[in-house]
Amino acid sequence: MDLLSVAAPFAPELILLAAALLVFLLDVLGVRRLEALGAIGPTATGLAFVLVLADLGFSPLAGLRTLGAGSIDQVPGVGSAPLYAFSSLGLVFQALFLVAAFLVSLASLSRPSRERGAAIFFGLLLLATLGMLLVAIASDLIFLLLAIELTSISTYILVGYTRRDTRSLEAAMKFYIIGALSSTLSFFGASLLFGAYGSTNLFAIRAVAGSVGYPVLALLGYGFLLAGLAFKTTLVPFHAWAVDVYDGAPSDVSAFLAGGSKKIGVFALFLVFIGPVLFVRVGGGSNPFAGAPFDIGPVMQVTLAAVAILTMTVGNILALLQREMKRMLAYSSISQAGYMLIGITIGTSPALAGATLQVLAHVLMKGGAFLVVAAVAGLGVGPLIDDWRGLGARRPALSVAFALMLLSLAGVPLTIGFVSKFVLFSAAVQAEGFFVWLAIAGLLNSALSVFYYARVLKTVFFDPAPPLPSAPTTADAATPALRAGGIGYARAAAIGIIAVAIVGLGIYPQPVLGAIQSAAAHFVNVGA
Amino acid sequence: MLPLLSLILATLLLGTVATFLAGAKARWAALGTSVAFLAEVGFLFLSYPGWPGYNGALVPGFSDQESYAWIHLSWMQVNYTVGVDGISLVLILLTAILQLATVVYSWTEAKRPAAYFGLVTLTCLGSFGVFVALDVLLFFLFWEAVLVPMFFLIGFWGGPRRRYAALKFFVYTHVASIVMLVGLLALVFYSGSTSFDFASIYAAARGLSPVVQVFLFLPLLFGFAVKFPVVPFHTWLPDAHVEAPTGGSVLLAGILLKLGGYGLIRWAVEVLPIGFSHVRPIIFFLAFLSILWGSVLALSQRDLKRMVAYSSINHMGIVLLAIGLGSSLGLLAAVLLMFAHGIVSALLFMSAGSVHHTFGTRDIPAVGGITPTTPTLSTMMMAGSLASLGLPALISFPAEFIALLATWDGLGYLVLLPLAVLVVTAAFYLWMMQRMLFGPARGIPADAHDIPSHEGLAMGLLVAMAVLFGILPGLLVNVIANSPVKGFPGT
Amino acid sequence: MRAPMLVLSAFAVAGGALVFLPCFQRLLLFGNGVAGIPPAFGTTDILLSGASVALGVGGILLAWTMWGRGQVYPLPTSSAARSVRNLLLHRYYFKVGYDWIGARGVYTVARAADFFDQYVIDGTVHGFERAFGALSNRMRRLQTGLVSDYASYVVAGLVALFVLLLLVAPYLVGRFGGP
Repeated sequence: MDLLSVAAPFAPELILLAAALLVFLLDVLGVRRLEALGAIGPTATGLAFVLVLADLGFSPLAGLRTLGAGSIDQVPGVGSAPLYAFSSLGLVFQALFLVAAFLVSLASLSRPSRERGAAIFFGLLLLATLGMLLVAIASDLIFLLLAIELTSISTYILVGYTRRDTRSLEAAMKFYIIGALSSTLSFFGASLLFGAYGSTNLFAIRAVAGSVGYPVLALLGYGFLLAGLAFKTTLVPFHAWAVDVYDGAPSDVSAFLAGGSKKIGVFALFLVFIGPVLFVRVGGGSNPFAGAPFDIGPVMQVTLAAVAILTMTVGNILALLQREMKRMLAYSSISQAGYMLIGITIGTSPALAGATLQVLAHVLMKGGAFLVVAAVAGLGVGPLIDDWRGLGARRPALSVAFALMLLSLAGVPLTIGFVSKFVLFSAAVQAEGFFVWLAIAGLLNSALSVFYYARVLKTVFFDPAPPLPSAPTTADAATPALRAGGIGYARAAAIGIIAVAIVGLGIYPQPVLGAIQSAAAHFVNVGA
Repeated sequence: MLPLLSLILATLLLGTVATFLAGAKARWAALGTSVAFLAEVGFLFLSYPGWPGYNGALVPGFSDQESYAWIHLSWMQVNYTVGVDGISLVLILLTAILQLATVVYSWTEAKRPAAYFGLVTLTCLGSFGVFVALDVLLFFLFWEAVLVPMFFLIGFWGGPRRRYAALKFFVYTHVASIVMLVGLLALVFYSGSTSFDFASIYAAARGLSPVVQVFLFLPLLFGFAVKFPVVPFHTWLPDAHVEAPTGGSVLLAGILLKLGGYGLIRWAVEVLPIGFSHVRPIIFFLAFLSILWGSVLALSQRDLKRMVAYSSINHMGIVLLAIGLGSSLGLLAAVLLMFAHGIVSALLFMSAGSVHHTFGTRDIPAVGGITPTTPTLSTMMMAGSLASLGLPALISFPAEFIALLATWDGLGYLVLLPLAVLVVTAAFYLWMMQRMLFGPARGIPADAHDIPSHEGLAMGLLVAMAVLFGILPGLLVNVIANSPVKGFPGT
Repeated sequence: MRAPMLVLSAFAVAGGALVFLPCFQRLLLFGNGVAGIPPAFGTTDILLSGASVALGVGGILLAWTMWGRGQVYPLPTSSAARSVRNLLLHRYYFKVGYDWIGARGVYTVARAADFFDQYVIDGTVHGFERAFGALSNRMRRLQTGLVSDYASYVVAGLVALFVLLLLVAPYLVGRFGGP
């Protein structure tokens, strides 16, 4: 086998690795201009995105396909335990990660040219994305957790990359400490699972799961693993770091965290729980302490349901009274994770499709929202929601884009947020039984969330502008530093793309929806 | 076959956008849109089987149906499906008339006119969409689409307590919409239909057991009942009406309340007839409660607008009673009543608004004997009040008469309750007329003059409608009675 | 004043007599009579009509004898007829009755209904609002900013997770069957 045919399926990953190394190399060689280093980011992620789309079977790009159709969604043969496996759902998530990375790196081009730490920012962004891509193709627990580590460590540093802002340094420290604690828990859980099942390969676990000898051991393992992954996915009560980190990090990094890094937790939960856990039914008793046989699935579903409802509710309740924009967005992000978890809890292919659609919507909505926050901070607006008063009059286009994102978060029709919630809750009702209560809880939470989004909209559009600027004006006012209204063309382009996508997909979601649904159906059948 | 319904939707949509963008000329854009809408609705009527002069055969099911695929997955198909039948046609006519009347009445709105007229047009767009939607998602979309413009209309152009009233309106109706959505989703999936189309759900729901039908009916009933509004879910209405600007109140009372009635008929009673028949005692109880509650509270109000608001609860209670009877006569009465109430309450709210502009207050004891000062207003107000209490030759009479007849048919001597309440209704309107319009002059400012011509024109249009359909109710009755309403129990 | 009254009374009598004309009867009557005899001529009707006419005429005659020739009867203050006079003067207390039912009765019911509306129905909703606000405030304090607190939340969450996984969920699944 020549190198090319072995490496070709990994083309997107290799592109990102090469790009990251290139950025660091250029930095060592003394190239410090942000435009030069930054151009690599969108190019690499864009290229990788195109390749992933081709692999998904997007017909106009058929010539670029590097993965044969026969190598996707396969169950490996008995006895083979590959570390990776390509699945359509995994490829969908890869596409989503790349979209998030592309948008953030594009928007980051609109920063001061001489900014220090640009190389660290772009390089680590690319490495983190690489880690995300690896998560999406993992089929072994250790591989999965290592890929998560790659992303996590990159993001820990990313949060503090400016090296001079105390708030972001503090956030980075908190992120790192809690993250380290959580990965300890994950690895410990994985080791317990190895003890229970005799393998860390997810396919192998699924094959053996029906006859697990020590259900308590397995449950403990899943518990630790869930706790570790819940950190990444910001589920309650493992969410406390997210508020301070999203708040303290530079807004572009928050966009990347909310839009990208949270989703690897979601996909990891897909991998670990859908195949091996939820679908294995051996008709066992209901007491894990009584030994085999025991169905872990129903127990896990009840637990996940409880966590999902708790997450949604806590996130929404705490967002209600927030007065700082970034903290409000952080809590709202936490509650969105609850919705995604509902899809995992139900586990049917419509539910997974709904959860994936929710992930897509969230990448656009939340990533976009934090990009807008970064843009507005560049205009000299302070951190409080009240500081945004009168923005609707001053920057109508930006405010309308932001309004679209918030309306999508609230689930207003004709936005992708509405479509994703509609599909998710329909799937919940379709599953009948106690899942209908999940739908009801989700819908009521959606109703609750309308309040704080509406409050922001009211502040931006209906409140009169404050008489004095809320923070010292930037150089914008004195010299025309950046064009496109002081936001920068690249950032404006990124925000514009997101706004158009939110409405466009809201009106006509069929193509994306169809692709996601078939990917989810394959995933449920294959399992990992 | 012209896609007339989509054409109307497109007209309204373009009109809304044009109105929002038109700045100072917005009122003309809104006027143009309303006239175009009314003309298109007229065209719809003329080509509708059942209208006098139509010679073709009756089309089974809905007419002017259009269906385009929207979201298609293996487990759920959502289409853009629209169609009309007699019930929706009458309510669409009401929407068109009220849109025109509101635009004309609010002609001189000075505060952000583009936004105001745009929101008015948007509200009518949403309502039209609700009446023609034949797919669950489309229905829910338009149903929600009506909430947002009304929220802004109340919250921005309203009275002193507008923020509270707007928020209350939004919260109550939004929560109800969510419960209704859960009910609709459950209806789709529990009946085994994967398509969200009305026809598909209707067919699939036939096979549901009575218990399931009842369980599916209840959340739908709750969702529609809050919109009606039905006691005890009515507390948002008085505040919303009182604080809303006149145009907002007209749309709220005239059209939005009818969405609840229409929804109940179309999506609950037609689809789940067995569940409906089991839940009828609850419906009757709620209806009688609303009738009593509304009229008793209306009698004790000092604020003119609040009085009309409570009388709306009263009238919609009679509508609920008529629907609850489950007979074709009851259905006819319900639709006629909804149309009548739309016209009449619009007229009354416009009068209340004019009283407020001219005399600075809506307090009934504070103002009296206004007829010599404002003869036009006084005439319109009298017409509205007489219409509301059911004077023959005005539109409410045939509607209420048929409702009472249907109640007698269905419930026998229990008809005495609504009959007695009719007396109370007459009482508070006559009392109001006697105090405000006639009697000794009181509280009239020195510079008071008669209402501006555009207000008179708008109210005159409504009075003309009230008289027209009061004398010739057959025009509407034919449309409703000849419409091939699917499977309404008793038809 | 006399001439119009005379004319009107002539019309009244003539109108009442109309009912005896067969052609007019056909206009009035649409029920089933006994073999050709219209119901208006039944015994009960004649008796009742006759009785009311007799009462009316009798009252007129009585009044004429008492006051017809310009006499005025002052009523002694302690007379038994006083209460009857008051009853008649106050129009059988109908107006007072209406005021009681309308102004007092209906108004009281309306006050009760309004109280129910404001404090029970709206009160429930406002109660929810206050509860949520209070809950939100209490929970906001948990976000202390100290990493050690966050780490302890993680541990607490882990313990709760195990309790759920190993104890609560199996019990629920055993009791109610799986989802």
